[in-house]
Amino acid sequence: MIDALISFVNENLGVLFVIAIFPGLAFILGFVIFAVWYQRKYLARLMIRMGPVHCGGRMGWLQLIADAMKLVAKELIFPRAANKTLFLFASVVLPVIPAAMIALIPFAPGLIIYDAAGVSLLVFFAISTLFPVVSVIRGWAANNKFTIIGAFRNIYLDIAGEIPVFLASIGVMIWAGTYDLNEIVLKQASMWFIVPQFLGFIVFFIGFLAMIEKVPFDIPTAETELIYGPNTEYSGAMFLNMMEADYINLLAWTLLMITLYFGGYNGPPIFADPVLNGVFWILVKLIIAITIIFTITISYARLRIDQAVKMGWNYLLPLSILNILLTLAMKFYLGGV
Amino acid sequence: MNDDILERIKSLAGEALVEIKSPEDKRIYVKVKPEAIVDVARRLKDELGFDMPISAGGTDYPKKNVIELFWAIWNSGMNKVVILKCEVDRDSPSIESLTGVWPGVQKFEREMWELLGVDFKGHPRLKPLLLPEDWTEGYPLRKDFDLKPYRAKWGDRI
Amino acid sequence: MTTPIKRYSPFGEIEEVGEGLFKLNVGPQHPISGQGRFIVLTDGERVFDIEVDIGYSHRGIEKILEYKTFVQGIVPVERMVMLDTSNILMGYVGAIEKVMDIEPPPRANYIRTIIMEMNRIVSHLYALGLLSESAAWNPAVFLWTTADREPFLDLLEMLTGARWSYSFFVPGGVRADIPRGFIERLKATLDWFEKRIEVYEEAWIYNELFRMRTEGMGVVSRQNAIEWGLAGPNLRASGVPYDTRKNEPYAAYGELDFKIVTHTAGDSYARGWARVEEMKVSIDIIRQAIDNMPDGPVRVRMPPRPKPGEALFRVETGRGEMNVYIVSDGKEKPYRIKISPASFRNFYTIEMLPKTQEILLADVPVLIYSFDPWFLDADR
Repeated sequence: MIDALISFVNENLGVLFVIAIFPGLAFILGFVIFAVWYQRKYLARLMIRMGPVHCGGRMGWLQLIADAMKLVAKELIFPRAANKTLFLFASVVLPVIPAAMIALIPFAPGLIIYDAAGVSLLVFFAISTLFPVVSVIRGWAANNKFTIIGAFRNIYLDIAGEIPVFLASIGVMIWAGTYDLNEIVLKQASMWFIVPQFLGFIVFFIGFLAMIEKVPFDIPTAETELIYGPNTEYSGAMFLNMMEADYINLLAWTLLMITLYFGGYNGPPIFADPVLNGVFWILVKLIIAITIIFTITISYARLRIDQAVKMGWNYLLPLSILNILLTLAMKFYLGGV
Repeated sequence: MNDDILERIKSLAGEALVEIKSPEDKRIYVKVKPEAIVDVARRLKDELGFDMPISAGGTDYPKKNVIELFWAIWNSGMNKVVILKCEVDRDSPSIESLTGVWPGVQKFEREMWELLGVDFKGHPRLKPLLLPEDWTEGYPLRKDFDLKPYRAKWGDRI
Repeated sequence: MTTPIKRYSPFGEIEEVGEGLFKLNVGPQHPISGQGRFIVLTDGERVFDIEVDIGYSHRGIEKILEYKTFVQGIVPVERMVMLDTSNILMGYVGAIEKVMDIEPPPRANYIRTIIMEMNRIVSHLYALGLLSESAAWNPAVFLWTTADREPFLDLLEMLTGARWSYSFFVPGGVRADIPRGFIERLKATLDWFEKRIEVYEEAWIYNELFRMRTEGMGVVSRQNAIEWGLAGPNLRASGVPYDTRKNEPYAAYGELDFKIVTHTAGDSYARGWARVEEMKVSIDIIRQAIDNMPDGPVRVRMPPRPKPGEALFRVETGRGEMNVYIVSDGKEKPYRIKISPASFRNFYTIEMLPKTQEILLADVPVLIYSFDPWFLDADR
């Protein structure tokens, strides 16, 4: 028995390392901690404030650990009229879905958790459609007027954002000629796809902001009207799960954007080892991308839900179809990649 | 000063007028009997153009056994304020509401109802505004409501 | 949502009403409501009725003032609203001066004008910050405007000794003269602030998304604004050219030259824009007051008792026009003081708006804060 266990671990050590440490569980949780701290410090400086300064010296880098410990130690409160099973179910399952999406992204040549040969982009989108379903369950299970309104807004917003994102990535798929994320990254070795797919990138970016629910699309968690949207009734460790879901979603979609448009892990060879090089470059692009997203968070007002849906259907949808036609034309005349 | 306006108000108020004076240019104090208040108010609005309500309140005179109510209305054309007053009996104060003439006095009349005890007939929404819903200790703005017990309770911080 | 659920509420107000409609309590425990409650009748997206529930901070100031002499009464009146204290105190002091029949010396008038205009700038900055936070600007603009109030509060502290409740006006004048170095520092602050307003205009007033959220929303027509008793920049944004400082000049406003800012649209964007323009007018007024300030005493002796009579005095606070009606019977304590603040009248407009146009639930906070209501102001 022990021998079988040891041989199993020896054979699959690589996979276990990738799943548990990098780019798996430890990396994802570490990124959540880093991203929340980074957001709080960076936005604070933009708002003439200081951000967390008490835990861990002037930079406050232990603040998130302290917050997580406090949240885990708090009591789990279930509203009396809520559906307990679904309430707990939504809070547990919600962070897992974007984590599953991260499993498909290539971080370096050969460093990928699950290699869905040939169809990884489609599997990514398929998993991502589960997110709004569970999101609505969390709003409905709490049995509270504010959360139900938040759940409705989640549906509308998802309708507004998902289709432009899919159509924009169809443009990328046509240009690259493949459904596989690994091959898309390999084909960007000479030129990043943002150059031929510029219109598609604009559509993708706006739709992507809607998918991760950041300003100007953070309508379901509209704090000034709905307290905290579908998350209102969660407390303690379930609240921690919701925050994680929010940031892991951000991580998953940002990685997808980098992979589709910014060359994935391609970059000038600073390190000799290609794996280390790829990891370094993808982390650099990730940090630049989330800095830009946080800066947008502070610079714009929030749209109303009908304005967001109108933007998605009246403007982004025709633009994305135009992008597909342009891509087809370019591929036909220029011979593609 | 405002002799022509005073003459017009005297003529449109007619029998119900009790007192009228204008101590300075932009203020006209008109006192009428409470039965004719709605009529006079409507005429002031339609014929003379006093259209924007700026204040309304009441004063308690226990010695004369009346409560004197007033409504202050501004005239956007003439830039003058008329203060329309009337006296109601203190034991059972009741008067018709002026919300039909000037909709903006709705909240002021609610306040007078709960702080002074004046009943407004025809008011669309006579619910407690400033005091708690379960307040039973009297009408605070009347002169026989004494603040001294509350002073003692809260340590003379009043 | 249509299955009736028994809910207990101490006020008995939360209930299921009709098919798909329910009453939402944007209540005292809410990020955006302040010290009051808005009971919103909605079906999830569209709002059919708003009811404003004030009275949470009713302190009974009118009753308290009947127990205090005129000078003792300065302190409770000032603490009515924390933002705009000198304008409100001017109303009280002006009414007493009318009933006592005394005139403050000209230098006191000019000092009063400077303090009131600085208070107005401070109050409008705060109101703009709250408006942008309600339009979900992720409190960036709110924090910038709050930080920009600091130079003015430091100046006021230099002059009066306190940051927001000065107790500086008395019936008969002001309590002290301007210290040395105040005028130069004030001029430097005004120059800096003028450039700052340009930053706000570019980044915020002309911002596309902010205009999308506020334009065409909560339109109050001129006729309705007059009938409902609206006040302040809200009234002027609906096209009524009424400003107490021009229509009934008090303090030194009669001798200064400034314009009234009006706008014809009457929507939330116009109300926000009107406040920014008013701040510019305030800078102009302060500059003129500094240049034309006469010399002389700053206080006139106050008689111990007023004459019996009544008076109505109107001032322009940051929220709008406030008036004080005083009845005096010749004793040292007033017989009756009735304060009618501006927010009390503005709330009625908020209640009447859903009856005249279609309002969405997401617009309710922006709508409410474009009127700049203060519950402390309304409750007294």
